[in-house]
Amino acid sequence: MALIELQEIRKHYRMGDETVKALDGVTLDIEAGSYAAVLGPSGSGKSTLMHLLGFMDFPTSGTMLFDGDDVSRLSPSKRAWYRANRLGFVFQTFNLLPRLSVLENVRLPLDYARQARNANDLAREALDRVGMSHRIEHRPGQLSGGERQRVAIARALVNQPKLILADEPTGNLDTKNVERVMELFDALVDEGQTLIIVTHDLEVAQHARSIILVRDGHLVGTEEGGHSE
Amino acid sequence: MIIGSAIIHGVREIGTHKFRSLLSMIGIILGVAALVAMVGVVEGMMSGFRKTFEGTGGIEKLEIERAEPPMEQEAIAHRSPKRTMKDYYALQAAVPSARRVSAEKNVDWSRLQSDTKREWVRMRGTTPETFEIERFSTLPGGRLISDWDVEQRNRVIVLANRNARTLFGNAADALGKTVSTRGIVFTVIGVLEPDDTGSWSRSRVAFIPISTAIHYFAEPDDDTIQDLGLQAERMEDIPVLTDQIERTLLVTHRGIKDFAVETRTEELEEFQKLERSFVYSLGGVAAITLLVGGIGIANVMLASISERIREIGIRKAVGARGGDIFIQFVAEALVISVIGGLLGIIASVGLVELLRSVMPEDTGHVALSAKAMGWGFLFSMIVGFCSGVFPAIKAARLPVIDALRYE
Repeated sequence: MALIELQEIRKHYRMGDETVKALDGVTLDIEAGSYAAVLGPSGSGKSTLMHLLGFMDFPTSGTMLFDGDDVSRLSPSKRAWYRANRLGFVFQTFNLLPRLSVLENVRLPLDYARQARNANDLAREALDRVGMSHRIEHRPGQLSGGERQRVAIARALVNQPKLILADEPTGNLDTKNVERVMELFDALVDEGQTLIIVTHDLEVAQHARSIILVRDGHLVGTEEGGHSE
Repeated sequence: MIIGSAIIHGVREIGTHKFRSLLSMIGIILGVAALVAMVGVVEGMMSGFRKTFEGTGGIEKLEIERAEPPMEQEAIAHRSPKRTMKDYYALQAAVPSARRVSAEKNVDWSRLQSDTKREWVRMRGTTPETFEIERFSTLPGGRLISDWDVEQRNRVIVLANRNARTLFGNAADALGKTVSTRGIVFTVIGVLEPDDTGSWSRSRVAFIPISTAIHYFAEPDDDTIQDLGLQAERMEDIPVLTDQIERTLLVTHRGIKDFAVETRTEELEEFQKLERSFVYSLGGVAAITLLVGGIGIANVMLASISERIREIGIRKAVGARGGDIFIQFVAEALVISVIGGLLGIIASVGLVELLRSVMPEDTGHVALSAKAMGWGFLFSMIVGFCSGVFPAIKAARLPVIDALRYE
C-alpha cells in the first residue's frame, strides 16, 4: 500500500469571475520510502500539490488517502494534527522563529503534538543528526544560511514524520551548503525516510529517485531515475 | 503545557517590546489604580459615616423629637411641660424593655479656660447613657459622668482628648485640674480616648451632667431638654417600644402630643442610597478607564498580529491548531493586563497615600482596601482576556498558506 494515494484530485479557486484550475485531475501514488522531486514551471500547480500533500489545503474534489485513511475532507484542526504528527516541512526561507532559540524552534512540532515529556531530548537528537548540536542556545539570527536550513531540517525530523516535504530547500543556499543539505537528505532517505522535494533546480532533482512533472495543473509525467543514473 | 509555554512566550514578547507594552498597559494601570483609590475614598467616607451612625446609637436608636401638637390641641398646648428630665425618669421607669434612655441639654459652644490656655468646645449636658450609646470611653485613671453627678448637679467635666491636650499640654495631666467657663469652675474627672472616626463633633466636645447644664446655663424657668433618646435591645422591639414611649410621654405631657418618636431607618436608607450612588458613579469611572485600557491592549495586539502573520503561518505549518494560536495571543494579552494590574495596584498604594495627604481629615480615612485590590486585579484580567479574544480569533483564523506567504 502506498503511503499517499491521490485520485483525480482537483483544486479550483475562484478569482473574480474566473475559475483557476490549479490542479485538474491528478492521480498519483507515493510509496513509503520514496524520494521524489516535483518539477514544473511557476504557476504549474506544484505549490498547490505541495500544500495538499502537506495538509495545508484541501482538494475541491477527488480523494486523498494517507496511510490508507481518507484525508480528503479533514477539519482544520485534524489537518493541524497531521502536520504536527505525520509531516515535516523544510522551506526555502527556513521559516525559523527569530525569537526562539534553536532548541525551541526544533521542539515546536512536538509542543503542538502535545509531546512535552522528552521533547528536549528528541530535539537534541534531531539537532545532533544534522550536526547542529553545538548551537542549541543560539538564535536563528546568529546562524548562517546553511546552518539555519540544517536547524529547519532538524525541526522537520523531530517528530519522526512519515513524510518530509521540502519546498525549494536549496533556493537560498550557496553551492557548498546545497551539497551539504542534499547529502543530509540522501542519508535520510537511505534510512527509510519518505521525502518529496519541490524544486526548479535540476541538479537537486537529480538526487531524487523519481521525478514528478507538473504543468498547467496536470501531471505530465513521472519518471524513475535520479541519482542512480 | 501549551498554556504554560504561551504565558512564558507572552512574557518574552513583552520583553522584546517593552515600551510598546508599557504604553498599552497604561490604561490598565490607571484603571486599577483609580478603582482602588476610589473604593478607598468611598469606603473611608462610608466607614466614617457608619462609625458616626453607630457612635450616635445605631439603627436601634429612637429619638423623641419636639413636634407641633395636632390642631385640636393647639389651644391647650401651653399646658404641656414639654420635654424635661421628668420624661427621662419616666421612660426609665415605664419602658423596661428599653436598653438605655438618654437625655441631653446642649450648652453649645463655650470657651473653656485652664490656667494658661483657652479652647472653644461644644459643651453637652448629658446623662451617663450617652457615653455607652455613642461609644465614648475615658483614659485610665479618669471616669465618666455618673447618675450621682446628675443627681447632685456636680460641677464635673469630661474633656475630649484633643481639647485636654490643648488646655493642659498632656491629656493625662488634665485629670483633677479645673477649667472654667462663664464663671463656673468644673473639675476634670475624665478625658476621652483619642477619637479615630475622624468625626469633628467627637473630637471637640466636653460633657457635664445634664442637671448641671440646666441649672447653670439655662434660663431660670426653662427646664426643657433638647434631646431625649432611647435605645432598643433589638430592632424588632422598635414598634412596641414606640407605642410604650408614646403612652408614657402622653402622661408626662398632660395628654398633649407635642412630641414624635423617630426611628433612624430613614437616615440609614439615605446613607445607603448615597453609598450606592457613589459606588455606581465612581465604579463607572473606573470601568470606563479599564475599558479604555482594554481597547489599548486590543489595539496593540492587533498591530502585533499584523506584524507576526508570518510567525503565525510558521507555527501553523508545524502543527499549531487555531486553538493553540488563540491561546497564545490571549495569553499575551492576559500577561500584559496582569502586569498592568499589578503595576496598577502598586500605583494605587501611592495614589491612596497622596489622597490621604491632601484630603481633609474630617472626610474620613482613605482606606487601602485589599478587597478593592483583588477586584481591580480580577477586572484587569477580565479586561485583558476580553481585549485579547478578538485579535486572537483573528490570528487563529489566518489561513496557513496565506500566512506563510506573507512578507
